[in-house]
Amino acid sequence: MDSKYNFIADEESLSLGAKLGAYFGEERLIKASNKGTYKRALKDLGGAGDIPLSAEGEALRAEIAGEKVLLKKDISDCECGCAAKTVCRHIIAAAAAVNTLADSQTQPEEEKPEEKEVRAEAPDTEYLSELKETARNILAKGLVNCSQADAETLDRLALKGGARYAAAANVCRSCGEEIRLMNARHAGFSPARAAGLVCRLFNTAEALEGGKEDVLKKSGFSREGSGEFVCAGAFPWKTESGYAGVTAVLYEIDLKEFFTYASVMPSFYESTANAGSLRNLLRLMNSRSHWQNDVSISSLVGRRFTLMNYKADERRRLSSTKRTSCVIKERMTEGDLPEELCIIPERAEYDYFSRAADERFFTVRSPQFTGAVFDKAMQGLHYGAAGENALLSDLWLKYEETNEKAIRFIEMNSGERPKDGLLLMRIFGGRIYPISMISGETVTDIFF
Amino acid sequence: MEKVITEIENLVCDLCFSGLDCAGSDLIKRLERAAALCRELNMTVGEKLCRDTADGLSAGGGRDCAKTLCALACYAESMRNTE
Repeated sequence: MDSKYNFIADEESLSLGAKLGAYFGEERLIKASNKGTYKRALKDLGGAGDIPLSAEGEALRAEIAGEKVLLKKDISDCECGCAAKTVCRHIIAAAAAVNTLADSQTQPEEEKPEEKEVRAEAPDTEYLSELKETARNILAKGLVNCSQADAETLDRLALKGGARYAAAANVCRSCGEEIRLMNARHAGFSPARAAGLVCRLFNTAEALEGGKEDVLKKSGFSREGSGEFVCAGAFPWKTESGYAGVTAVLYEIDLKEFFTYASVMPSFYESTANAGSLRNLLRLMNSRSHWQNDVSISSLVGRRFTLMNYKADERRRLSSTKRTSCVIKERMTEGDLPEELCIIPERAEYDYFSRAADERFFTVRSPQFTGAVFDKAMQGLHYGAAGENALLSDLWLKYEETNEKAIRFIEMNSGERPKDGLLLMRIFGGRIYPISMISGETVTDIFF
Repeated sequence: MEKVITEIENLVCDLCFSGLDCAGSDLIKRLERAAALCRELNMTVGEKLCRDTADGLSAGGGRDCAKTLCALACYAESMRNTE
């Protein structure tokens, strides 16, 4: 960045600025605000002129565009004299300016990767003890004595956890949701699940306190490349922790690996409370907003396409970065999914803190659904799936809005003679789910 | 093993639901029985966690044994999924 500003500061303030600046990387500033605010802040910074800096304990006072900003290590704790109640452009501008001090004083040769900066951050002991104390209180008095106030405390902790403690925040939201279900005497309340969640909350806080942050943190998009894919199906999902979305299952032809691409909406905000309805999920599926050339997930299903400059994380989840471009080609055929995908994958090693890591896909050749019976008491469908390479019994699909069409599809096709083609199956959280039927050039999403 | 894991899961559920402060002697006895079952099956970690939770509850420190109860929940879940 061309510096069109000068710092007016003593040595102490400059060295504090260099220390704090390491926490204000571009990615983090965008996360704390948004891309628009960040760009606007950089524009402001361009004509900022002199920026006075003064150290105030562990915080740094800066003056930018006439506003006094107090910078702290945690960007969400920074203060500004302007009317904005959240992280404003003055804070972002001051933080971006101070970041250049870190660049020039502590990293003269190469930029320090963002991931390392996060690792250097000490655990937020105050937040983590609050989490543990909340879980301990619930365990001491019992779920049966929990009220709306406890659910609200958990919601507040989820918000406070934010992106840094996303795993803990998700558990907080799920616990709060269970308490609400219990108080509403909702049939969906499960004491066993609620108990597991409260214990998980305590264990997560304990692990984070013990420095397991790296394990619980979402992995970065470390894999990059370009390749030829087919989209073998898509399915909707909704979590208790307040997210809903649509995931496309993509198969990389050269690498012979499955990837996933998800379009996600949080449903815990009042304005997006209906995000998990099938109607909204269908809208998400058809939304033309992905990658550089604004493709939709529905336009990918059943197609061959090339992805250029894609990024994926260790769990082979593709990023939605606009740097990736997608060229959709002809229809895929069942021959694009090789024979070896018919082998049912072995179970992955169980990890208490990363249950979602065990996501695998396989295909069933000449499939047929068997023994579909809807259990009215348990509100779900018992069924089986059989084919040339697999005989899967005791499969279960819980009744909920997102599964309604799949349940109807399985019921209608149960007991029919084997179909030509492939059935794409997903293993997730120890259960097996069907995704799509692929026959010749036709891909039928079972859930849509 | 299946039986003892199910019993530990039920115990965790009952303790969390009714609260550690109100855990009665029946739950403590069930924990002791689960510890004995674990011992028979050579599940040393399970035995220790069940016994520590029972001892904590007997000593009247409901809040203090939250940590062992959570560890027991983690143990039961891991055993269930690696069985």
